Amino acid sequence: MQVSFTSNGPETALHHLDVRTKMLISAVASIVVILLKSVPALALLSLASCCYLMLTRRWRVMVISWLVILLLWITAVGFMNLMHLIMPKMGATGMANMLIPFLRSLVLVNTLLAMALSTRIQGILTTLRSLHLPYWLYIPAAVMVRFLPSLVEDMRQIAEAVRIKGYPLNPAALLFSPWQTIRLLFVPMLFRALRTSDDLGIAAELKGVGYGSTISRFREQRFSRFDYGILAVSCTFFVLSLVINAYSKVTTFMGM
Amino acid sequence: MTESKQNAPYWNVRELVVIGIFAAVIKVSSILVALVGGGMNPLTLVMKNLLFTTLLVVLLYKLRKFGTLTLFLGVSALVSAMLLGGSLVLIPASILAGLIAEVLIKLLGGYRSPAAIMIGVAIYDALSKLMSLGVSWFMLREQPKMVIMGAVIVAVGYCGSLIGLFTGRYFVKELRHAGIIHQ
Repeated sequence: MQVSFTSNGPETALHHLDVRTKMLISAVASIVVILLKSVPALALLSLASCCYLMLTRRWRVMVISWLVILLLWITAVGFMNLMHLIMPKMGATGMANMLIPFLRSLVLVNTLLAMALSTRIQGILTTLRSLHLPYWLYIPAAVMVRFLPSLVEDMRQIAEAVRIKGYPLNPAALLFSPWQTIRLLFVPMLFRALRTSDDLGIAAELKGVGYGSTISRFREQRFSRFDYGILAVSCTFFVLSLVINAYSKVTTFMGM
Repeated sequence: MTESKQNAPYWNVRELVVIGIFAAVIKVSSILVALVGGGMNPLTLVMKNLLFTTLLVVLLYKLRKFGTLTLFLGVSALVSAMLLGGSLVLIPASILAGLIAEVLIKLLGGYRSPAAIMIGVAIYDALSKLMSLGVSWFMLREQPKMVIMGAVIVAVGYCGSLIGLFTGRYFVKELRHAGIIHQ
């Protein structure tokens, strides 16, 4: 099962990329976008991240996510102009300044989507193991990753059972009878989760999990040439955008 | 104290499994609330925060041990960053808020005191939200007025968190009645 819980897409080059590489790209991108404050630098990084996401070939998801970001930007511009009409002191201070936060979001969304759409649960578990985390961090993280798909399935079944009983599950039900909706949906899940944690805890204890000094590995994870290549290209783009940012004296772009 | 007890690790596997399962349940609940409520709106925002604090209170009642909150936050942040799109910049802020809340719980009487747990969770949530707003300011520093909008949304969400403290206690009563929480 894929991390994104969406239907399986085509097997692409990104699927063969090590999860650690994708994590590293996301981590560096989240720091670099905070440092950047010029439109050309952020535009370059946005373009590069769009190309990176295109490697997944999940066109529908890509277009929807970009449209959502565009819609958010248009809404924000609209509301800031509206605020400017009502309270002149609170208005927008230029299109470029409005564009920068959304270009930052676009880079982050692209890198995270690329990771989520091309990583399998097993890949995440293998990566967690290869990070040499202490057992008290590895065990709960592995349990969480392993149980997310099962819990999603449980929730689907609970929701179906609630609908069969004749209770509506929609925004109106949440608005007019929030307490009942929460009880119907979450109390069964909580009970199930607590029972599962008890069973799983006992099973893990009986197997001696957490008491061994070392974990033996079936297969060592190593970076391939493709990983090094993608890391080098990403690094080039990050450095280039930082250089452009350093030489951009103004944050405006094309007179905006 | 016997030698075996001295050598026993601070966390046993059962406790770690409970933390992992709760971290998964909280993530799935947030997604479900957004789906049932038709996307992110003030109602789902309140509900999402309400469920988060409710489940956090239940977790802290079940595992009354120093470090539970911080470990839960660490695990949750790690997995979110890896697969659910959590911002890596928010991880240190969340863990710092958790540590401050845990020290406060300890000072107010420890995990044996229900009031200390509730105050600790309320303080953690307030601190983490304030720190997140600080990070948002970095992201939106060219248009700082937009952070005001963010602050209003966060304040609405925090109302849900405060209600969640009491629903958490209610859930604990039901779980005690069912024999799932023994303490």
